[in-house]
Amino acid sequence: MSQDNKNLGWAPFVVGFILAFSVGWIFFSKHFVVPPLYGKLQQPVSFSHKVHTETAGMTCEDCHYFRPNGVWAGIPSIEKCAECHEEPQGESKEEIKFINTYVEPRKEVPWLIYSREPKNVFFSHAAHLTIARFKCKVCHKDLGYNDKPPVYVYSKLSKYNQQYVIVMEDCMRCHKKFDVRNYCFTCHK
Amino acid sequence: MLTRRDFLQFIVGGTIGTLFSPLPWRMADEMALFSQRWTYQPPKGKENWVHAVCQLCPGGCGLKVRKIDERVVKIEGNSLNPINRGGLCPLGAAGIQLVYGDHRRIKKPLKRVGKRGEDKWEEIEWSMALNVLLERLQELRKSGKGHALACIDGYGNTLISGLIKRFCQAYGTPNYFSMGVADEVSSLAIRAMQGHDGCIGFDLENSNYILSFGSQLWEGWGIPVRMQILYSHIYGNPNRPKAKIIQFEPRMSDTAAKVDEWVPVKPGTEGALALGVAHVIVKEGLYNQEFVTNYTKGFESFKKRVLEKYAPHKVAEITGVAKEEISRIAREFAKAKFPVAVWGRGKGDIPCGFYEVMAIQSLNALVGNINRKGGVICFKDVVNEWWSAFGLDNTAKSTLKKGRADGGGHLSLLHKFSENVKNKKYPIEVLVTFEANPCYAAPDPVSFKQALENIPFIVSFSAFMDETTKHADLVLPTAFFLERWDGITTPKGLQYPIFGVSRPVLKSAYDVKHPADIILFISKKINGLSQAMPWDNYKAVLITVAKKIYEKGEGKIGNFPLPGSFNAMWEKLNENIWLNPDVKREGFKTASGKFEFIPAGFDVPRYEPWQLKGDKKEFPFTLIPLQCLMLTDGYMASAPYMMKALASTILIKNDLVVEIHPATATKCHLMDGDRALLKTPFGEAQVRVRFSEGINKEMIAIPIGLGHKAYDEYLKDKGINAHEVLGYAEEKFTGIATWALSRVNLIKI
Repeated sequence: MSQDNKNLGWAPFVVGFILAFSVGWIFFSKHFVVPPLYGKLQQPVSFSHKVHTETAGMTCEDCHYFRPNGVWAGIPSIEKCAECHEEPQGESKEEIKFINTYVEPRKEVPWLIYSREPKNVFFSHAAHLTIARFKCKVCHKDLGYNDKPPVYVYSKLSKYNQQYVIVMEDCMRCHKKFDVRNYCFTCHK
Repeated sequence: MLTRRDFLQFIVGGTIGTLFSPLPWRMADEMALFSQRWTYQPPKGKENWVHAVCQLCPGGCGLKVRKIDERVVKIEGNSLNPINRGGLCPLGAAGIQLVYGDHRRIKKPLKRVGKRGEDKWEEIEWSMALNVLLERLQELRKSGKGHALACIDGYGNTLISGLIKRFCQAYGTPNYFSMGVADEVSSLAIRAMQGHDGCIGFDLENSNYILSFGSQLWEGWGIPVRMQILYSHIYGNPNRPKAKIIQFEPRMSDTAAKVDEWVPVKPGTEGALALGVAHVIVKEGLYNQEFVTNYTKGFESFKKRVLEKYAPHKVAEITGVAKEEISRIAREFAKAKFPVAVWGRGKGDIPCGFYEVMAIQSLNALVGNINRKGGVICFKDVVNEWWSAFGLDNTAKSTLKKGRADGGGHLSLLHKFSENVKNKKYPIEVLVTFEANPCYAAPDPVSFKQALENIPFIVSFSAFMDETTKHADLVLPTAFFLERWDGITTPKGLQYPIFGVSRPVLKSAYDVKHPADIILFISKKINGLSQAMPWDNYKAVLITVAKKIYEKGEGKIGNFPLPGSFNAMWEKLNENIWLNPDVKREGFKTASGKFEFIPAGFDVPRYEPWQLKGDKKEFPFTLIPLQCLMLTDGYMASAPYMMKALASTILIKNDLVVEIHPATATKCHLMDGDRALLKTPFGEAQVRVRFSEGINKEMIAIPIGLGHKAYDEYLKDKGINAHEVLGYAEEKFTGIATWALSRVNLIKI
């Protein structure tokens, strides 16, 4: 055994630490979005909430409302878009493309939904809007105020979206705060 | 050069580095989310809700069925249905498991290839299966041996049941047997005392004093959901006038625990108790003078008999109920405004004795509540009324004259059938079972199975591979509930007639046919039967009945009056049931036009002890059945979910648990949880014992509904079949068999 080898000291530890630390942060943090765990998608249409609310003066409820039977309508259908966009509003390229691809053939836009709850969760908009009288932004943050749709970052393993997502802990914290039923079966029917 | 030490340092550094990065936390989270998908995920597709009516028991609850595309994913109660008002019983809620029960259902017509009961089959086509059956039936009829056909019907009082009866008549066989003997006994007693057929309903909703002679009201008696609603109504609704319920039962069942008073009684002596109550009412002159004078006959003889023989101290000796109790209850009962006495043991399917029913109905006559609010309501059901008369040909006439295989006249005495066929006293050449499971649920099923050895050809109409189907030569798979047209008629104990139609909600995944359609098809092919069975299919039968109701114009659909046109009514019938709460009540149709305490050809109501097999010395204790809502008996066996919900007071692993009083257990040197050998004159089985002070001394209670040897992995070989050890006790006079009690011994092993 030579003298040199003994002089390596803390170096292997530091190298190992930095390497693992970087790999962990680069590949497994949603801030960088580097494959293979994460993927990035763009919305099919560059929709601006800001234009609709500020320029066109619409409110959230104009598009996201309860159907007459009390069911939450969610993302509006193409019929709803066509009410205004039958004719192009402005002359942008995106607008023309939107009308040609979706409005004319009445094809539903395959929106990527940020807050789609998994199938084992029962969530009622009616309970949160009508009874608890929540504002949209309590859960959906600034999603309804942006000019460009945020990039849809999702995990390739679990297929879950990584932004604007409400996880069980958030639900439970809020249920606890407002002292409402917080049993398993409240959401997991 | 990297040394071992450097390498380890590198690994440790890497590990710590990883812990300071999001990797482990992220991956843990990802795995949790990813593995969520391993469990059941609802199918994707279009959701729709369809209405149907439950057929899993004769109750006929309204259902709302949730479908995703073609797949049924949920069954809920229909809140607009006046009977179940949105409620559902455990069997109904687990109904999908039966429909999609891949291991229970029969997928194609089967022909036996191995030995009987060996469970080896060859799949055949429907045309071939029907040809085999048809040839056999034609041949039998041609050779003048029509009576050698026996049919066992598991439907109870329904339209399909009516079709089978009609088929048997037209074919020329007197050997029609029903699995619902309990109903036959009640009908016979009512026919004797009141002179008419039809339904007997108890207006419990309006009653304020209920004497229940062993009826487990809250555990599936009559229509389970109706009774549950009634329970919450009586004990939970402050606006309802107070009602008092007295439960006479040998064991503290859930019902006994949840009513006002539980009065323990020796099993099988309920008839004597009713007469004891009658004694007090008569002696103290508490009976309804107006009713008894104007509407009854034979009261004097009845009075003489009960005063002579059934004084409370004598009855106390027979029944084990204190004489003061009997007197007190009799006084309360007679003084109540709307009293009613109810019979129908257990869930109502364990037969009562003929004289027992007469004794209990006499109580109702004494307080004059027959056909009055809160009492016993008698009326004619659509199913009894609508069948048209038909002529019989000479072949049928001649074979119908031959006696029945059970030697009886009106009742389905399956235990005598087994005995006669086993001893070759009566030739049966073809046996057809219609969704019935006598190899499991007949009185003394062991001897029934032995009788099958003397029957050359057995055909089973069944949706499931049950015990009886396993012993068949030809298996015809029937469409199951939700897959077929169904007609719902008045269920047991309801006080007004109903009629409902359930259209097929889904297409069966298997190659099955409607049982009634097969009967109609066969009838068309056999000479001389077509006049009696003119309908093309079962739907046509339902339409004819619905038309009959429409023409009469009485009643309503749900809460709405009958629509203006028949088509509109037919559409509405698919969403809700027809009912007629203002039904015309059936008056007394006896020769005297009155209620007869001594019917022609019968004696005054008396206490008839059950004839028990076995010696009292060898079998010192009494075995009684235990029924609960989570267990079903017979053909419609418990669903897997129900098995999962069984308490450890009934089943521990695969061991059946019997209930015993600690004092009795001490006599047998048994401790709580011990294994023991249960021995009766009919058979023996290994069980575990459980101490309970809610059961009379010298008594053992055994749960009914387990111990299947067929169906699927969830049911098979779990516990023991109580019918095999309970066997039967016979009423001497009528030959009725009940499995309400048996002699037994318990031996420590």
